[in-house]
Amino acid sequence: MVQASVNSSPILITGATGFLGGFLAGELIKRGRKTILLVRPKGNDSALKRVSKLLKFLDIQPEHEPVVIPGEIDKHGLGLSDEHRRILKDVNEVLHCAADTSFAERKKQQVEQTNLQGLRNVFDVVPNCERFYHMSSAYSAGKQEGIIKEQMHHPPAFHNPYERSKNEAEKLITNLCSEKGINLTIFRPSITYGDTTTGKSLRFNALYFPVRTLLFFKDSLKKDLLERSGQRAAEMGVSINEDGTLHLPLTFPGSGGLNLVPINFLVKAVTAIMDSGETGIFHIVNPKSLTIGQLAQNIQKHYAISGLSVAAKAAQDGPLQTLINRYLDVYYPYFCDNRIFDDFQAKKILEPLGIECPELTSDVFKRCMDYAIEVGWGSKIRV
Amino acid sequence: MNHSSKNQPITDHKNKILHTARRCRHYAMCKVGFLGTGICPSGTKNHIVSFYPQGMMDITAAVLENRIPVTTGLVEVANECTLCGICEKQCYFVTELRPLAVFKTLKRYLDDYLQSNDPVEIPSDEFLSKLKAITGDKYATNDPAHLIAYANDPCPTSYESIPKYVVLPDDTQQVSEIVKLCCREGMSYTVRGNGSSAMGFVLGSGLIIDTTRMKKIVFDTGNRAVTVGAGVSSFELQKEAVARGYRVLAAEPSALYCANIMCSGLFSLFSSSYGTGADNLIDGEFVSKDGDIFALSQRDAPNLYGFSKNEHPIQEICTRAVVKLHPIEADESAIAVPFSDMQTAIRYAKKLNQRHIGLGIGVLGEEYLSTFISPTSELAETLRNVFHKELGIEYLVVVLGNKHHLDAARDMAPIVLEQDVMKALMLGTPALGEDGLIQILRGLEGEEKPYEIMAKPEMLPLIETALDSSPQRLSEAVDDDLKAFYEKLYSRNELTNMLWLNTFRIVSSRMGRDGHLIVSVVYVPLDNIPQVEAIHKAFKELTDTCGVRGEFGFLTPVDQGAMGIFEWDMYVDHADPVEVEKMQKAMGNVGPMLERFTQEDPRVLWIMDVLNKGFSRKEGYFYHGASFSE
Repeated sequence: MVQASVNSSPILITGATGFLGGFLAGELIKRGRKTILLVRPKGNDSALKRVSKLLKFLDIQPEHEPVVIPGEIDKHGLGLSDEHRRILKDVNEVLHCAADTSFAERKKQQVEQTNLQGLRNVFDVVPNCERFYHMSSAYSAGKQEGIIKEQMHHPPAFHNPYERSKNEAEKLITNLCSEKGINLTIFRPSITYGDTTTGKSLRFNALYFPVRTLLFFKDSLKKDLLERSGQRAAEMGVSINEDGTLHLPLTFPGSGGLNLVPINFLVKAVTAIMDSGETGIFHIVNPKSLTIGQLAQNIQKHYAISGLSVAAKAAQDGPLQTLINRYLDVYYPYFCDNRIFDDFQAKKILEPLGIECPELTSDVFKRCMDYAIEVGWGSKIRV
Repeated sequence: MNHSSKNQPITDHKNKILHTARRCRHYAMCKVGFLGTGICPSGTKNHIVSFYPQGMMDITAAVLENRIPVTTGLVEVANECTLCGICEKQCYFVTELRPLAVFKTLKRYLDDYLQSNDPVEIPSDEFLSKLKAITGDKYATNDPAHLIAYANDPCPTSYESIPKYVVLPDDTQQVSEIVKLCCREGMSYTVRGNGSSAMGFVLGSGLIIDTTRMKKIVFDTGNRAVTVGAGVSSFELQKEAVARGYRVLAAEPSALYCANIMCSGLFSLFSSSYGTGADNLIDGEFVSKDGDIFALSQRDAPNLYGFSKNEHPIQEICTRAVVKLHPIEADESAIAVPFSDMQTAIRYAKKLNQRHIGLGIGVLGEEYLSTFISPTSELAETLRNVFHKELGIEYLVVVLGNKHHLDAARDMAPIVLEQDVMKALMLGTPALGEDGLIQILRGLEGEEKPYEIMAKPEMLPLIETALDSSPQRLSEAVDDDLKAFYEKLYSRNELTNMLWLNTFRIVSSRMGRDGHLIVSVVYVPLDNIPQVEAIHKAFKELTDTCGVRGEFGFLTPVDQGAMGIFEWDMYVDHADPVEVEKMQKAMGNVGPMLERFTQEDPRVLWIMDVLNKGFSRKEGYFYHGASFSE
């Protein structure tokens, strides 16, 4: 156990203005932990300004103000000043959450640069690190089928450059830590969504995306039907029902489910594992997946849409169906996932503490989506 | 009344007016009726540039800066302006400047001044009397108000040069007599067309010969030929040709056609099939430096078709040209083919040209694409980001042609954005910058780029619905008082039709919206496409080093893919001395930079080597070392 010796020293957190890193940083700050946040200045916002926006978003008045260091993990030496480099010499613990999560093939180079070279760059600036927490992904398993264990994967292939980079990053950090005798903990969350109690989130992809798409087109098509000729909507088979709901004849093709964990569970689970001092690989996953049928049902129930169905193959074509098909092409491995993510190691720590993944109920779904709508799918809360 | 508080707003107002007046780009778009609004009535009636908005901008700046006296000519200019507002729409479309406030200020200034003063009458002199004897009183002047309108150019390497006289001949005979008079009297002269060349080439301290009155166009459709007077603009000629079912190879709409041939030779996207240089010329009529009239078709005429890099440019004045008419077919249209890298885009364009596919081909950068289709500069800035970062479109190959051309081009293209999709994007530009469709497409990106999803044929109704593509939606982007005008303007199909837009090129004038445009054209061999990209990168490095904004413009393959006409553009606020200084440095570095490429491959040729040799056969400068004379 190295916990007692390192907890008095500050922990360096990367990706602290991102979704997982932001909520985790917030929790550690709330607990009174001394933190050093590595933050990239963005647009007109300095690193400090971004952190102040984050703390405001999380509604935190810290006991210990975090130390904010401007830096970019893509750069060798993170582009740090000498003073900041000196500060990081005293750091014994790192929570590395910074990542590029793009699935786009054209961004492959950038994804590799951030997720692999960036990881190495971070590792290199903390010469006295004793414990490294690495935020990976359940999907570093790539195209591996069946039961996915909490161990290193060697899958036959990957669905996208992101998965590959996360897999390679796990191997890279394992080697680096092993060479230097550093304790390593790897977290592998599945798809993360907002806080089940407040709906708050900093990222609105994956689960949010089909809802956002349908609601956007619902508004556009309704406008076409009510304010213009409605010809375009009619061509797509879209109409307004007697009860005012919009009929969108769309099929979500495929079966299986989506493994989702809310951010409040992730924060609890990750910090509990950190507190435990255990090293190794931990799946932060949901034992119960959300099915596509449940997703469609929730959308229809809460957002005045009808006509959504689930089938092995789409019964109709048309532009909206093309988008849905396209969406499922990209997210298919996550939406139609029949794999079982074994979380034996994580459960060993979490169960005794009564930490378990809450269910994504219809109410929670609505709370999270309403929040997303309120904040313009993230456009109003740029951190 | 506290004087300082009364005067303060006036000074602010004056500064605002000066800010606008000094920023006229001199592109002469106010001299062509490109928006269907007609043209400035005062300019049309009086012809001298000082009566057009372009000239009035220069005059107002000079008056407010006390650089010219209030003359009878100035009073006449101000009185002739009816404040009809045509220029307001035209200038906003191109530059977003609002000239009407400038002219109201000039009128107010003169009203005040004339309450207690008389205007100065500039006395005539012997030379002026002789000019007037040739052209009539109205078209020869030495009034400073008129002269100042011919004295400036936005080019950072040109300096004000106020001529002694301005004359506007009506025909070739008058030009001949004027040149002979100048020879006799030892008067230097400079010929100018519609604008001011935008490179400072038409400024002079002696006599300015303005050819804008020479507006005769005579069609000979039997011979598929048209005779064009030296005062006819490309837009006017193209309009007349299209009305008869033909098209001419034409460049910038406001450029005078003959002057354009003389200056650099004609080129446009249509050069892919119509050629460039002498390819479209049937004959030319000239006045020699001694005042003699000759035609190129005469056996003893100077050989203006020949080309030598080091020879001095022609000094003759082109007064008329006979050029080819190209028939328009009913099934002509356009497609746009997006690419995410330059070399692949050029390879596609070259292959099309090699196979004689397409009437016009152009590889456009994201700068052109966003600037052309955006009604405002702010929106263009947003769209640059949208096309490049969100949609993944770095380059767009525009292909113009008949059905057979376009079917073949589609077959060879990885992805096609059809005319209807481009129209939906153009009319939906305000929505492209908002959260919505683009973010959704971006969220769907995996192996397929967002533009590939957008290009799927079934997506069109959804794109139109999502962007709310309509003239009304587009008009939301412009100033409130112009919304109704824009809605009506964009209800015309032409404004969103890629073929029409490339035929008349009216949106390309928007390239100067963010500041005056310094164009660098380079002829590049297309058997070495990596070299083309290297030139592009060298330009980028040069502009970055000098601290000026520069962007790739376009590349058009010509002569079956043998060569490419490559354009790189640099932008400057010509009224800002700091920017001007940076640009002067950048412009000074372009030549040496290109020379390095020319040393490696002599076929790389800067357009400055072709300047004022526009009647030359393209073979003279495309195929270096292949002729007997080299």
